[in-house]
Order: sequence, then structure tokens, then C-alpha cells
Amino acid sequence: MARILDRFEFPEGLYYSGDHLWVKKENGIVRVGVTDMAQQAAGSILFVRLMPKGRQVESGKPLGTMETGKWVGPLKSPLSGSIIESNEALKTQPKLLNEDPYGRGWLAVLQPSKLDDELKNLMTDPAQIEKFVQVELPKLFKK
Amino acid sequence: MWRWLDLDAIDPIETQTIYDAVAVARGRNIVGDTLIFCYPQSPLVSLGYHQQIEKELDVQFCRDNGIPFVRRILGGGAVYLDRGQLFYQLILGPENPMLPKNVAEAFRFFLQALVWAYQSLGIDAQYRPLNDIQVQGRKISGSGAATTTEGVFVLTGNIILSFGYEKMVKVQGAIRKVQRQSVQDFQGIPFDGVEGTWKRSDSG
Repeated sequence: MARILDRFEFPEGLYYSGDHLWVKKENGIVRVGVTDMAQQAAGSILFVRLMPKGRQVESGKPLGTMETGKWVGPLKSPLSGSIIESNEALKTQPKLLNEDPYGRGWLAVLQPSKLDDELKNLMTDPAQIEKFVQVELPKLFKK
Repeated sequence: MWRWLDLDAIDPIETQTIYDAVAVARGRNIVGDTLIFCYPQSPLVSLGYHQQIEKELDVQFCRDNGIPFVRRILGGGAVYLDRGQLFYQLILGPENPMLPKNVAEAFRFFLQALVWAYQSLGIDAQYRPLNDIQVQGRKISGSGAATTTEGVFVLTGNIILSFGYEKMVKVQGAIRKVQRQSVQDFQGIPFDGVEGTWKRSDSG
């Protein structure tokens, strides 16, 4: 488990998007979720609404929305593909995103349509991720 | 470049749809950053983006009483809105240098203008995080926000000019899950002087 700036968990073996989602490859399909940095920045998550099974998503476009403190924002898919499964538990337990963002708080499982091409746009190198965190930190967190 | 749209009294549903449309247009760079003022010609109930209408609202009560209801694009809960409230609706593009990236900071930054407005009208309003304005420890104004897919930031809220206490409480009886408020919660707050300060098209 990589811990950036002694504050944010970024598990090794995952891919990370500039929109603060992670991707885990699982035998031809992928599981996605929000990063620890994203859930810390968001605060207590009140609602999560995800697109249903079968819906097509595009990289950079929403696969759902989340709400925290009366603010609603998009959850942008890191990859293009179709939704095989959405995490139904988030309907009644949205705080799973806060409590276990890399485990029980997963968002969706996708059948990717452009995996090899789009994985190139995601981050895996710890040095690259740390640089990204340094850039995002002042944007997302009040000093 | 900013623009200000003073729409005055409009259809109640349009108080929640126009800023939504402006946000879409802003995301496509068809329009610039926009501040909208408006108020509804008649009452409505506005529900939060993630709320389930049938669980949150007595829909039949609203229909029987001619009160329209609409789901907005912003967060928060169900609220009763009427012509005694002026709505401010801020739509900003992601590149606007005034826009804090942190949502909590955005609320604090923009709502300070509302606090100043109330204070200039003689009401001792204070900002309370995350997004409330209070007088004497009681909430008098709420707000909600959203960020669209294109990164457009939308923040809206209300300035109470006059208050139909009794009607608000009656309609809120139709809102199943709401911060229950009684008439007593609002008494003592000097709203009466505020309406006289704001000239509207129907106030002469």
C-alpha cells in the first residue's frame, strides 16, 4: 500500500485517473471506485447514484453522481465501456466510499471497450501519482 | 465577462430550470458567467437531486393544492419556496479565477456576499459552515451547489423578503422528511423591513 505524503492511500497495482477514480483489472473486466484522496476531500458522502447495468459510459463522462454537504458532483468514468454491475450497497450505505474506498466502496464493474488505449492515460507510477497529489492538494483541501 | 439576469417574477418551475439551462450553455461556452435573480410567481416545492419524490413528499397533497414540485440539479433536501423569497443563482465556468476548487471554500466565499447584503439591510446575519446563514442562531437562508460534467459550478440560494409563516408550515406538512420548523422559529427575525427595501415589479 503506497501512502502519499503520509496522508493518502494509493494501493499498488491499480490505475488512477485525473478525475480521482481508480481502476482494477480483473480478468478482462475492470472494477472502479474513488480514491482515498477524493473521499477525504469530499467529506461525509450522503448519496451516491450510479448508472444501471447495461449502460454505456465514456472515459471522462459520468457513470454516476455523489452528494456531500448539499453539493452534487459527477463521478467521471476512467474508462469507456458498459456497466456490468453497479454497487447496490451504496444506495443505502453511501459512506462505504469514505470507510473503504478500495474495498466495499467500489462503484461499478465495467466491460471496457478501449482498455489498452485508455489505460495509457491513467497513472500507475508512484512518482507520477505523487506529483499529481501535490498539484491537486491545494485545490481540494483548505490550507 | 459576467452578466446579470434580473428575471423578476417567473413561473415557479422555471425558477429551477432556467439556471440549469444556463449551466448547460455555460459548459458549451455559449454564454458567460451568470448571476440570476428571480422569484416564483406562486409557491412550489423544490427537491434535492438525490431525493426520491414519493418518499419525501405527499404528492397528492401538492396536487390537491395546486403546488408544483420539481427536482433540482443541486443537493440538499425538500424546501418550500414562494414569492416572498428572492433567489440568487450563480453559474461559473471552471476557469473563473474567483472560483475556489474546494467546495466548502466556495460556499464560504460566495455566501459572504449574502451576509453583507443582510447586514446592510439591518439584519445581523452570520455565516455558519457549511452553507447556512443564521440570525440569532436560527437558519434564515439555505443554499445548494453542484458541479456539472463540464466543470461548471452552480450555487443557488434564497434571500427571504417576507415570510408566509403559516402557509410554509402547512406545506411543509406535506414534506415527509424536512427540518421541521414551527412558526415560532421565524418570529422575531425582522424580515418586514427587508421587503420594503427591494422593489419588485408587483410592489409598485
